[in-house]
Parts: sequence; structure tokens; C-alpha cells
Amino acid sequence: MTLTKIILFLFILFPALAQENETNISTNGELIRMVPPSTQNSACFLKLTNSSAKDIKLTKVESSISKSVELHESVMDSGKMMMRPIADITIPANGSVELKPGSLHIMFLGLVSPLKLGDSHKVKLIFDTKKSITIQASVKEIPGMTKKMAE
Amino acid sequence: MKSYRRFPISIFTILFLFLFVLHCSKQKKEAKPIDFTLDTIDKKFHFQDGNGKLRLIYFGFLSCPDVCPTTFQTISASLNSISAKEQSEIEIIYIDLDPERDTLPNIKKYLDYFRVDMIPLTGSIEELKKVASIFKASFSKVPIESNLIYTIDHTTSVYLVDREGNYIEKIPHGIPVEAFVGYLKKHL
Repeated sequence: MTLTKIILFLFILFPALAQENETNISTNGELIRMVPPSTQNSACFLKLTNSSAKDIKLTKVESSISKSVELHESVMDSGKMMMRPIADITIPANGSVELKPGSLHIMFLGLVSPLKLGDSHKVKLIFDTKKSITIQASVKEIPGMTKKMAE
Repeated sequence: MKSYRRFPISIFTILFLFLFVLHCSKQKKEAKPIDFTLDTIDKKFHFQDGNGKLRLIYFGFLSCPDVCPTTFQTISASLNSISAKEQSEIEIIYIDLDPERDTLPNIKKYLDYFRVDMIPLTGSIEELKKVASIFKASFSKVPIESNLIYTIDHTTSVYLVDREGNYIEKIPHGIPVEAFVGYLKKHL
């Protein structure tokens, strides 16, 4: 094999390899909700974006801050709020999904120790593609909604 | 002859119906002020003792990391944006719907976090159902496949009661602080 051939081969191979190692998922706005110290549970909100041409599902989340982590959805039905566990969250192909209050969220059940404002914690997101990413989410207070947020 | 005899009956019927309707509408107007008794820390809480203040009533449970904290943040931000005098004319009542898991000292600790005075209340499920029905609010314990074991589906509005103890209206969940303050100012 000549050198040019090798270079050409690597050139073709490399983007393919890079793709293979990536989840095609990017995140932003990740935060863990600050909750009163007497509370056992908290939630993580973030926006997930899928840059691939295929739907990807978030199937599992792991973190050491609580005894268990689940995916939940809050649904409003005729003035009544209902929160239910869900098996997965679909991040549509070339699209995104937002986990936010009153909607989809990652739920931390049984906090190991009370949360501290500003602390940052590792949260591992596992997808149906068998790939995962670990993000750093900091503990933040979600203020009373302002006009901008409600819009 | 037949029709002549029927005439006084129909007059009576009409008169009776008229009086009945009048009676019903009068009853509605003279609706009794709201009153109920629930447990607060170390004592009973009687709703009518707070007459003279504008009352805000919210139902929830502490395991809820989503809807309830949002409402508390909104109440806190709203109360902290009005004058101290206006604040003193408002009483905020939180009624916990999960007496199985939430204790009054824990509820108080939870509420204290939101930097606004709120009265923690709870009671037996029967008592809570009764109080909820006054506001046409509803809740139910629902088992779920989760480590939470069960959740409480509940109405998320904040209910307003005037100084005399009469129900005014409800504030919907998820409105901005500015709009929430608007509701308060309207009735102060």
C-alpha cells in the first residue's frame, strides 16, 4: 500500500469512526432543581438535541445523588396534574426535546444527601443506541416563572 | 267546565314554582362563609379565625418535585414583590394531601424554605376530601410503577377566599408572577 493510499484510507475511515463513537446527542440548559432540605426527591431538566437522521430514545439515567433515577412525565388533565413514570423519552431525528417543569423530567428519588445550591453533579444519560454521555448538571433554583418563561 | 276547573290549579302551580325559584336563588346568595378545621403544628386550625384577611389556599404533596415547588416559587416571588402592608393582609394556607408520608414538622420545614409565611395543614383523608370539595378541588392516591410507589393526582389551582370567608375565584397553575400579583391586587 502506498502512503497516499493509506492516507486516503484513513481519511475515509476517520469520519466513520468519529461517528461511531458519538451519541449524536447534545445537551444544553441542564440543571438539577434545588429543593428544600426536607425533601427526598428532585428533578433534572435539560434540552436534548439529536443530530442524526434517526430517532433516539433516552432509556436510562444514572446518578449517585439519589437511590434511584427515573423518567417521569407530568400531564395536566382538566386542571388535575398527574405524574407518571415513563419507559423512555424520544429525541426525534434532527430535532430536540425539552425536559421542563410541568412536563418531562428526570426524577431523582431518595436523595442521598440534601442538595446544595451551585453544586455540580454527574448525570449519565443512556440511550437505546447502547451509547451514553455523562453530563455535569448544577443545582439551581427555578425562580417563580417570569413572563418570558411562560411564553 | 273542565278547563275552568284547571285554571286555579295552574295559577297555583306557577305561583309555587315562582316561590320555589325565589327561595333557591335566595339560598345561593346567602351561601355560608367557608369554614373547616384541620391539623396544624400542635393544634387545630379553624379557617374562620383568619377572617379579615385575604386567603390563598393550595393543595399539594411534598414528594412532588415538579408542580408544587413551581407554585411555591410563584407564591413566594409574588408575595415578596408587594408591600409589607399588603403582605400582612394575606394569609397563605398549604393543605398537604399525603398525610401518610408527610408530617407537619416536615411540611413546615419545607415551606420555610420558600421565604414566605405559609400555614401548614393536613388531616385524615376523609377530612381532606371534605375540605377539597369546598373548593371543588380533587385529589386521588394513585399507585405507580416507580420507587415512589404512589403519587397524588391533584388540582393545581390556588384558591382565593375573601376577608369574610367567601370563595372568590381560582388562580390557574403556571401563570407568571406578574399575573399572579394581579390576582392578589384585584382583591386586596
